Amino acid sequence: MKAQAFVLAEQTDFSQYLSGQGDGTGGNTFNPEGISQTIDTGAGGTIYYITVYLGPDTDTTDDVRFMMLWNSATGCGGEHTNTSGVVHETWGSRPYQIPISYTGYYTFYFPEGITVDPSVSCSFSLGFSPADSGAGYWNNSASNATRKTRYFGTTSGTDNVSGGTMWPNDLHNLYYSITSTDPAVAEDTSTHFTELIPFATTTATTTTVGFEAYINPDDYVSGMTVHVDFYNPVVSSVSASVLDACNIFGAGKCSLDFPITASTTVASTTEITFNYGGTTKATWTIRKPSFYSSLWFVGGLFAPDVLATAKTSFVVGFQTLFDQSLNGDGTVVNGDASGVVGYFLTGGIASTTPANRACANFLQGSTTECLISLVIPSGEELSVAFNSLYTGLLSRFPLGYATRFLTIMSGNGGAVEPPALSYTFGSSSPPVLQGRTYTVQIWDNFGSTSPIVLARADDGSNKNIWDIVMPWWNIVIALAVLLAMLTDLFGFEMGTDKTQAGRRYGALTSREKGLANRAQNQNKYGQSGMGRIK
Amino acid sequence: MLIQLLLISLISMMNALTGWIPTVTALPFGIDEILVTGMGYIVFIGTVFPPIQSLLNGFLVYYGFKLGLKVIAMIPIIRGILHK
Repeated sequence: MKAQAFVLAEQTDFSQYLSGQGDGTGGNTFNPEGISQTIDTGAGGTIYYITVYLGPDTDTTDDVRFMMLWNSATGCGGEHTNTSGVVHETWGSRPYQIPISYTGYYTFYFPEGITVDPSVSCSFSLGFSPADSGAGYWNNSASNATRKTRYFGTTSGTDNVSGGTMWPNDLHNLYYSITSTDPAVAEDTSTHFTELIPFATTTATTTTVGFEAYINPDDYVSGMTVHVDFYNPVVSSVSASVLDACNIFGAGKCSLDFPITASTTVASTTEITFNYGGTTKATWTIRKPSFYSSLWFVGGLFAPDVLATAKTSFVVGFQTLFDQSLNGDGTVVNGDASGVVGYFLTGGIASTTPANRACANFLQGSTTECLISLVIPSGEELSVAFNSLYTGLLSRFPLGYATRFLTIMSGNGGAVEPPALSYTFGSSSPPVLQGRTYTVQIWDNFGSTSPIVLARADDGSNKNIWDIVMPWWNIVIALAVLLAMLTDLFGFEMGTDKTQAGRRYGALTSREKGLANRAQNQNKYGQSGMGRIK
Repeated sequence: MLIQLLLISLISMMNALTGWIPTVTALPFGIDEILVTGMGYIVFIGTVFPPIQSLLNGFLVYYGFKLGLKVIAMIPIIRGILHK
């Protein structure tokens, strides 16, 4: 198991770059599963989170946890203040741990920050521990054989595992680095693309297309996608699709969507076949559903929020006529020599290709779909047209006021944190309170770094509270809205319609009820029908 | 392709004809700032507390439905059917 740790420090003046790795031999200065790092005198600041990257591993022993301990010495962040004064925590009482269930990035959050005094030499330890061995209880006692918790390196560095071998092999080196000021290794925590495939190269006709991106947890919402538009200017004139997997009528375009189901580092690839060679452009966007995207009927009008955009251009390798007449194994297309002839007849397009390329090949494609594509614009074409209308006519006075209003109401203006509740006690307050200001920001308790969101399910799913609750909550909302709509359409009272079937049970419409009540009141209280008031 | 051509031509013509009219960038009398801030609050709360977002979306979907019904009822033929 190979891992790499980055310390991302804010408000810090760390000036040194530290790196190292376990020695892989186990049991001595560094355990093969953990690291111990000293931050020398002169480096200090406040650390709010540490991200650890767990790389691919051939070992299947993944029922483990990342754990981190911080030195309890004064000035090393291991102390906290309570009503009795400063309390120095022990190593074992502050075990930050994260269950490991997948390969990727894991983040230790320290909402209160770990403050390191630059005048003190401090150290921390980071490593793996079995999840079923009382993880979090950092046992340094060889006599306690029931807790198979490793004691990750200190300078003494002895391996205090009791009761068996946790790691049958020594493949569990933990690689790490610590930095905050070196731009070469400082990590960009904004939502962005880190890799695009293919990128500025020549690729085969059938190739792998994919991306890797970092999704900031604050940006992540359900329904996010990575959207890519491919565009080949050469084929745009024939309204042919760039990809074989394209399901839209695009003028030389085709789009793919990769769903994003997690935050931090995400990656996805798929193998596709480009229908045409030559320069192909790709525009990648990380999209988040608009605040109103789930609106019934009109939600689709609200464009998604684009968090990041990246572009690349590459060349799809041309195939010669002879190449396209042959299969990959050198045999001719269709199993006989007619493949060569078939190429001339079909333009090299196999019979399984989408019919929306028909306009490029009348001989084999669907003429009907070709004609449809000539008449009916694609969704993207309509989008371009309406975007032009939006930025033009609809933004002019006086329509622009309505457009601006709808734009604001669509929530595209961004999020604004409500002000905190704050109160300063004045002279009429008890002396002990006078002059004190108390500030409460309610929403801090629900942010991405709040305990309620950081708490994860221990069933291995790594879900937070919203991942668990929201599907059920959405069902409740959907049912409530559905019932409200049905009530509007049909009413709660059965038989309120004016058909004979409705009258069969003596039911009256609301208007009929009103007329009946009025007539009754008139009989009782006179012509005015004003009720009991006389 | 043909409809798109007509559509783009029509929109471009309308944009060109109205190009001299000032573009509205903000609502007057400070309303813009109030609405942006207010919606920002709602978006923020909906972001940090997803149940609120679902609830608001539910309300909006429902009132969109009501609005749709009113629009449909404005169509003379349908209005005639409803009043029979």
